[in-house]
Amino acid sequence: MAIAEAAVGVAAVTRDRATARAYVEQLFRQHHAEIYAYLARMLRDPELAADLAQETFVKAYRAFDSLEDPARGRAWLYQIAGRTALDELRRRRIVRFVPWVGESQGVAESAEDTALQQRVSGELERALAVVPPRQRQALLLAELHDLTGLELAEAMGVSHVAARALLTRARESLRQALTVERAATAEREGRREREPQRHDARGPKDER
Amino acid sequence: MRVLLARRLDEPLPASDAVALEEHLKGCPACRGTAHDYAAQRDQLRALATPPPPRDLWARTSTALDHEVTHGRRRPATVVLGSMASLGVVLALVAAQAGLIPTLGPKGAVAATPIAVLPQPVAYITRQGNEITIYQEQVSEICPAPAFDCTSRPADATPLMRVDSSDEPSDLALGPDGRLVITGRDSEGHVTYSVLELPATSEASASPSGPQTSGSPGHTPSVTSTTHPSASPTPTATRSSGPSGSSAPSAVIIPPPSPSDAPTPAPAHATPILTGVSAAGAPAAWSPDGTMLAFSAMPADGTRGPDIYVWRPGEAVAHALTKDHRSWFASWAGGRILVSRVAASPVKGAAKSPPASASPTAAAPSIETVLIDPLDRSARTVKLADAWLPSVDPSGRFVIYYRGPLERDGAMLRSAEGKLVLADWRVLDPYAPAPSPSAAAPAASPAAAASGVSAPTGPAATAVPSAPAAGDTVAPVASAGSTAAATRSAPPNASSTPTAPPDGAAFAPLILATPGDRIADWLVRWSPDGSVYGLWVTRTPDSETGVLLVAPTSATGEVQPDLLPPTPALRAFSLGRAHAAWVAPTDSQDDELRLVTWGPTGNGGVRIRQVGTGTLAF
Repeated sequence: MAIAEAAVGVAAVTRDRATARAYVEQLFRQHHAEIYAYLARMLRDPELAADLAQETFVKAYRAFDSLEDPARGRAWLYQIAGRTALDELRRRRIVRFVPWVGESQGVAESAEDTALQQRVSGELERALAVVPPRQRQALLLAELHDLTGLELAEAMGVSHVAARALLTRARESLRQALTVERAATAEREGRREREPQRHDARGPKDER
Repeated sequence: MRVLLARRLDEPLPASDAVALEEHLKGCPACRGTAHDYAAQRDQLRALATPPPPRDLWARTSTALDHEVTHGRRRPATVVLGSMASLGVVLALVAAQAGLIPTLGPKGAVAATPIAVLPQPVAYITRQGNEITIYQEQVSEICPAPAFDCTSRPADATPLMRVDSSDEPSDLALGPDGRLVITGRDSEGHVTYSVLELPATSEASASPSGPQTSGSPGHTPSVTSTTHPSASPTPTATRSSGPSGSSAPSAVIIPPPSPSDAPTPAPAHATPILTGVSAAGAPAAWSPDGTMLAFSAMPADGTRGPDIYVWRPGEAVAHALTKDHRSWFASWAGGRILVSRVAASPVKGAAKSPPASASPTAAAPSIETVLIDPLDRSARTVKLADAWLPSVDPSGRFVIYYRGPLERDGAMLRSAEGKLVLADWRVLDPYAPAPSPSAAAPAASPAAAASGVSAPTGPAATAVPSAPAAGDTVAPVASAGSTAAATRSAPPNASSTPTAPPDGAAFAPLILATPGDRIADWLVRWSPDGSVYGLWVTRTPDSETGVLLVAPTSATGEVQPDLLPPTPALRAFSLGRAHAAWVAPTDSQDDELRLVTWGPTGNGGVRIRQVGTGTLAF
């Protein structure tokens, strides 16, 4: 009798796992692009975003039982992805001292040039990076991923009111960060204008 | 109003709010600017390109799911044999694995067994109203890493001392003899340095944090205060009533909190030693032997730049060691004071220090590092080009400094998109014995070039005659030209390959790897023996929240495993021989005081208690 009950239990669990697998595959088909984009914007690292996107769906599979309403799977998925990203950000905010490998002025100038060429998006990306992660989450989810108010609250794991407050703070944080970034850009440009010789000297070389 | 401006982007405002907002905007150009900014940044956000997922994402995910199905941590037998209670445990574990339940959260505590350790003293200061309160607790149980919640602490802490103050403390420096120096700022932004004597016993033990050397960028922290209500707007000094100091430091232990039914101690008064100034450079710090305090400050009105001030127990006031108005206190190096000094004429506008300092056309602040003997006022230049606020460990072995652009903020200089460098101080110390001929370094060894470090040229090379009388200015020890020459001899872009140690150095300089490109503020603390450093860094200007890293130093420069991996922390933290204490920010109103220990004490950590905003650990 006990053996029979155990067999039934195993079958039920196996079926649940199959259901979980099928459900996660469906979630992947519908949302993998936006989840990846969300993680890439949070982390500013495409490779890491891919790793964490994969991890997000594995976590979704593991936590399938905790999903109360499959119709809210999208917000649930964003919640898992967001927590995964925050965990990663906490781990890698500041790393540690590493051996000095030297640096080249030429490389630095090229990087600066690149940033100037992509000034607007570059400013926004850098400003976004300065916005505290939780606020950044709220901003990205609301503006780029079009989550509704309730979805945003669920994805953030907070109340609707708290999510709205986070979003408000995020907008102001981004505004201030953008102001700082634009001032820094203006300063860099001013410096470039004050040092024409350095750029003149590099220009022909770059053209070659 | 900003709330309404932001909210109307997300949902229609109630009619009354919408009307009120429009009316307000009509008469508020700044608010219209904010509204425009919000709308513009929303458009910019929505115009951001969507990064496409890698083509193999499904293949990778599918493989990972297959592996999870085959080797997953869910065990059917557990569910089959389990009761509802065990099912709940399993689901909780699965959810925790999925990151849905914080494993270290106060309500999701991990059931770890506490470890008994030697009592670790932790001190901290809080402010409420016109009173600051100093607490001291002993921690004798910790949780094995990574748990923090395995043991419960007493619900309330008993104050050690209360101090009348209408201001808010920002930096604390505890001397070996129990004198606590409090840096604080009043509501008008005027800073006062005050000294407070903590209760002491004759029992020999280490002070909570011991003598420390610290460094931080040259700007007044956003949360600073005076500890005396009578701060004057001009730099003045007030007579101290403190007792005479002893040249022989004695170890002090702060007595454990008195029983809860003991009478509350009457508020004490901190004795101001300098008022009406703005703080500059690294926080005030005691000399390693605890006999002298040093810091830098400038007039609060910014009419001139900072000078170095020193104070000895028993003296009425702090007095200026320099009068050049361009000296920033960096740290103690043995019994001498390490100073970052702007060598060139006053700088206008932001400047990029390291690369531009070699350019004759750049209006960059040329920074020199000077080591001043406070006793005879002699000074020598440290061949450490482009270093800002170097912090030397108490053993005189290591130095951590900022290297990179400096930006003007009024009379202050701020770090920006640079690096923190950990280097061997012994080859930089101009008072160190001259290297043997075989160890004489070429002027531009790759490592020296990369770090801006020039080889030492012997202690006498840049010696400056001591000033004859107290109060005289310590003369600038090197001209801008000489600094530039030193820099040119070791161009920063000389190497793009892994470096070797500078001749005479035990290890090549290390740089702090950061994911971002800005170091807006930092703070270095060393354990009393220099075996461990704590480094707090933030990328956000004027932010009190950053990341704390604690790691051992290494005689060979090898990167050691962290004692405390990078973790969110407020700026003030303490570092002892075997423990670090810090305030961790939380999402709630209260922050958390935490402690980690290592070494023979045992490796682990504990959440001590929730504390109010503005708490400083020391």
